[in-house]
Amino acid sequence: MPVDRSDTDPGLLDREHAEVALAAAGDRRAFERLYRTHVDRVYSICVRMVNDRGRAEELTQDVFVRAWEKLSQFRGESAFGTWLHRLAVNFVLNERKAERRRQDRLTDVEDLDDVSEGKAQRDWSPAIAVDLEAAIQLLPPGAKQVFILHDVEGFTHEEIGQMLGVTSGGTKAQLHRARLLLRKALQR
Amino acid sequence: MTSNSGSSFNCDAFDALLPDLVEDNVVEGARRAAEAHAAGCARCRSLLADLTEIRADAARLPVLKPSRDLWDGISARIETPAIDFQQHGARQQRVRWQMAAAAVALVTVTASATWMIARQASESRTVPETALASNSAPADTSPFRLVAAYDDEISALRKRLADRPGGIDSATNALITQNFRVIDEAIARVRIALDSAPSNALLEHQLRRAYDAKLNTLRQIAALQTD
Repeated sequence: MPVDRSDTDPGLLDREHAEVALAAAGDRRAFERLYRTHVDRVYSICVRMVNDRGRAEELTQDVFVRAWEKLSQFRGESAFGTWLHRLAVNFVLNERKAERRRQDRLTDVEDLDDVSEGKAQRDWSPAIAVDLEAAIQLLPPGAKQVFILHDVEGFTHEEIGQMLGVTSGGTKAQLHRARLLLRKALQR
Repeated sequence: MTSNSGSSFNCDAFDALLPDLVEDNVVEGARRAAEAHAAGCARCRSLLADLTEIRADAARLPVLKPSRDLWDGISARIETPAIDFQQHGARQQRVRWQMAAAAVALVTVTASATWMIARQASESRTVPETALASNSAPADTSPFRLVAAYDDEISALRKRLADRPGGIDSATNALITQNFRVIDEAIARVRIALDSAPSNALLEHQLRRAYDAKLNTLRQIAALQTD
């Protein structure tokens, strides 16, 4: 589960739940305060998943609008941040699926349980000096999603499996593949 | 692939265990065997060190910031929908009736729930007249921490309404006063019941509901006045 400060600070959790209650009742100022607290994390998820800052900003706005619409469904069983980050991931994943359908680029869609490295290896050049952030963007889509969600954002394999509609065994295989590819890219 | 001669734990076995080793998710016996193999195998030792480092580096990646404030775009999309001018009069009348009905329904439900919970408490109490009539500040106990936030929002909204040119018309003002009296009565009942059962989730829910009713009353009036 992603790290959220309010998960470990009961006072912060209470204050945030009060803000959510206000926002759910229609208070836009309370919702703006929630936005200010969480916008950077939501944006980070978006930009790492789509690798396009402008598109990530649009998606971040979409995520908060969707959150506003769904606030009444927040039950307070987890920190608001955890709920919001999960909503962001699901939103971005759905948008990407829709974009792929629109662009009719189904050939790029990977089977998450396929861990062959054929296409990915061709894109990896040992001569390219890349930092980890850039190297992540070179990963094949399936491996990249799982790596970002697990190693960067801290979701569990079970959570990722639910979000992506695959088994946790599939996400573990993709994660290992991603780490091996990153090692190669970073020439470690 | 290098095998570890003289041991049943070779590089193939190490590779099979590697994902779980990186996530520190192996039983003690298997970990010891893997570490013993890695101690004598540079390839496996470096593989484990590199993947563990990549995992740690990923967890330390910084939180990124958008290049601009995105709030204005969000705010514009969650604005209260515009009210049709021609329907304004009818709508205002309808909203008034809805507000009155909601307040009555709220106090009925709240009174029933509160009565049932209070009845289960060891001591039964009588609601003091002063508590029913007042809109006093919340007690400084755990269930009331959210009340302060509600009170702030309600005060800010009332001030904003009062500061508007022309203020609030007398019919609306009378309805606000009447509704708030009903809602405040519900709040007072819940707060007294919370004294007996401070961690009761149903009571806390009722308290939120009552405050939501106050906020929504003011918001509906604000929406009508901006039309």
